[in-house]
Amino acid sequence: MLALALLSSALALRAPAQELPILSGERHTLPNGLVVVLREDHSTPLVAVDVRYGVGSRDEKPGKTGFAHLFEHYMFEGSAHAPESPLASISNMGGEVNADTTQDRTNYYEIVPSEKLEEILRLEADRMGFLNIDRKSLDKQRGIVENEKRLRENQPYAAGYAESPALVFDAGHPYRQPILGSMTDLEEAKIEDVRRFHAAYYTPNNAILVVTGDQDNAKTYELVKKWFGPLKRGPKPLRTKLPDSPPLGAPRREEIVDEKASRTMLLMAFRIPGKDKPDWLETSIAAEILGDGGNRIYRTVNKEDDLVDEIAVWLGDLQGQDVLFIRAFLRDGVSSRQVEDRIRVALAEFSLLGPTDAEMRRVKAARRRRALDAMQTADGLAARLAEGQALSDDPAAVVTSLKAMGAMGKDAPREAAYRYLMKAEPATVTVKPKPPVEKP
Amino acid sequence: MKAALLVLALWLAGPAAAQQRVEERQLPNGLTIALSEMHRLPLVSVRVVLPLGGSALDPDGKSGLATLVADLLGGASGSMTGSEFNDALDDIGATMGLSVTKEAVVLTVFTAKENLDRALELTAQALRRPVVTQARLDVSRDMELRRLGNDRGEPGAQAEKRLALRLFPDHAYSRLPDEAGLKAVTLQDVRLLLARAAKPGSATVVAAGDMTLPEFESLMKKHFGDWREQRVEGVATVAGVASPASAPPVFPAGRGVEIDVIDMPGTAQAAIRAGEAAPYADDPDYLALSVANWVLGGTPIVSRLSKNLRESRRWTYDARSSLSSLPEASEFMIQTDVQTDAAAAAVREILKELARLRDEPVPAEELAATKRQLAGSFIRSLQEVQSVSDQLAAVELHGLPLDRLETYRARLDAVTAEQVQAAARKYLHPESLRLVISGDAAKLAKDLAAIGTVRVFDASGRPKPLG
Repeated sequence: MLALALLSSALALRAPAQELPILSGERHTLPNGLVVVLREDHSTPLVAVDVRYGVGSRDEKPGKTGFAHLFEHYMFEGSAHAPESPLASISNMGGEVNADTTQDRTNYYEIVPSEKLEEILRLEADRMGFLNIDRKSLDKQRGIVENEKRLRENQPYAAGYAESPALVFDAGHPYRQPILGSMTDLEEAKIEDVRRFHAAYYTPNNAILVVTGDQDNAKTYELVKKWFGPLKRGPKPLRTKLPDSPPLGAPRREEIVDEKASRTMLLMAFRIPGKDKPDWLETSIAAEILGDGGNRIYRTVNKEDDLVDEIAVWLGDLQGQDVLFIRAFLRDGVSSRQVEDRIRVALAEFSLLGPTDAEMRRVKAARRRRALDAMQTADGLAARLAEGQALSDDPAAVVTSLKAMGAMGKDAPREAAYRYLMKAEPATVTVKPKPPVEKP
Repeated sequence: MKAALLVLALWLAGPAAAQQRVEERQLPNGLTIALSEMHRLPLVSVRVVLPLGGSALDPDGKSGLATLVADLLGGASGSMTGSEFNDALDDIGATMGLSVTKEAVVLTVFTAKENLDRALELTAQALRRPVVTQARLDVSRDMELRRLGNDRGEPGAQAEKRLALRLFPDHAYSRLPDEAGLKAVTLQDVRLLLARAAKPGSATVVAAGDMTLPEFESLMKKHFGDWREQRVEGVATVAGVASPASAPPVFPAGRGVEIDVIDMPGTAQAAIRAGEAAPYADDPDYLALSVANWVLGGTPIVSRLSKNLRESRRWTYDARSSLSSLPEASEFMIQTDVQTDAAAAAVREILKELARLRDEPVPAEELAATKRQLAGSFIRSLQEVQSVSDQLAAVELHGLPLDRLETYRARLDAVTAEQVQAAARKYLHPESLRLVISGDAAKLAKDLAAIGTVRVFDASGRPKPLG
């Protein structure tokens, strides 16, 4: 089976000197379409494997919400040549194993003692090609996922966080639904759905395999060919196309009363370009200066009186169409409209005047430190390489984007903020604590 | 000058073993520093441990003092305002954080190597020249008073707070900042604690990352070499050690299971927390108990609680147990959030699993697998400079033998099934277990009453009659 001609191309992942350590590695594509990224690093006797499939909750059909995530659980139920759950076997060899599902993709990863690498490749290939599919496992994982959902929903502000994407996107948009899905849809999941999903998306040509750490690239590549080479290419994966979602022209509002909340939370959501689109990097820099880094919004909102306890700004990290969130926890008795107005003032100031030189310098310093931080663990680095490969056909995108940022002037984040935060309207969810019951 | 060398042996079955050295020095002014070199990436994590402040060490009636002291460090200092100080850190892309444990205030710095000199300069400024004024104290006090109720809607957090009260009744380990305590703290209290804790003879500075010991030592001398004890006006000498002193209580057997329910009507899950007061990290039983803990709930999905409550019964997304060290004891805790209708049954299974650990030796293969899980978890933690410096801080803080990590593998290997069972029999008491459950009391109380004595409280901790 290994006699097939293999298309492989080694490439040195680019890195600017003095910026970050060079992410040297190599990349291959198997004839069945599997993209393989290998990186050698012998500093710790551990090896990490990351398999990233191009499927997430956005690819679910109406009435089948929560399926991509339910399926992620299902992938741990054993496969034809490895019937025991990989969770047990990998934990018991001293490794760590897990997976996570987003709107856009599903990642499976292991970090194990180096000599166990082949066993991991065997397990990953087997569940890609030969997953055991039966009713009993589906019922089991459904029960567990329902409790995962209850756990999340049992936390303060959960309803507000769930409502925000539903408000900022239009009806029918695939990013509206929660990744964990609806209880009704979970109850309705059928065994045929599992089969169809596996056949459609869990194919070598819809996956990226990354191996990092204490391994030998050449030897690992031979093992990858041995275990993944025989798998058949699947149909061209059908990704759900996202409807165009330009910035909102009119504000949207929703108010929720939450019994578990202790303070009023204001959660504003702005539509911004997706992670793999132009302007995203610039908008993300604006977000960092407005939020944690420069703390611009906090300083403006609390300029005269202390209106809020904290401000956070973050991005949804969504591929096709992203969202910028601004969250404020209000002091008692402060009006949410007043805070919202002050936030808009802060956004306008930034959009017109732009960041200072110092703010730009600080964001760059913080991002360099964070990029280095993310490279510390073999599994963290593997996930970064897979993301770079998936989004920009460049495993070393973490290095490339830092370089792009280094060259960026102050006007770029200002213009992005002007376009997506100042000239646009937010979808705003306000979560209020339940008013105290009056004693008769 | 005291110099100690400890070798951290990383082991794996197989030839790919690595070694990680940890070295300790004392500066002439008495400041202890410890370093573990890690040169893979240009990063450094530094922790300054101030062991004389902590929530369990707050004076009676002043719960929250250590928290306020932590608020006042790491901000306005020297001639800088708080904003200027944050900007100075941001200029070099470094982060600084303050945390308060039961037994210490810890200042944590994380920076790229090329900015280490400046990061340590700012660290020294934060510790040695904080702006301690009535105005800043009042701002911090207001902030902490507002924070007090912020987690009152979190079922797990509420149950954990109450469990600490049940495990360490009338003991400092159950102490948390409260309104009266925060309001009672004076500027003089803050100055005294700072003078006692933030001085070279008390503090320890540990680091992990991309530097050599001579580099670290020379930077530390540059920024901390002339550090001396601060005098506090109106006080001749600042008293030395603060300690919760009394050992935690031992519960008499035969009292039966006790369950406190915190009523959160309408919740779909019950947050179950159960625990025991366990021995100090240097106790001969500790490692055997930590293996017992790992068998019970150390690894997601694979350990007994998770296998039972999640994989077999599907009542929960997660069930685990933990063992955390305190200076004179440890806290053993079981935690799981289960669907409400399964709460009583889940409690019965928890009691069964505890009894099984006491009644049966752990089978050989399960014990071997558990040791591999523990070893793997330890090795993974050595990839990051932050977690290595965290482990160094724990060794220093608990006054553990410097070879503790070096000998870990050998000690772990030597643990027998008999020792695990003996530790379980000594420290785990299903017949008199203390549990706290946050959930819908109306739906929970009746079934739980068949298991043990049930008391119901509202979210503010006031006893609540049912019905």
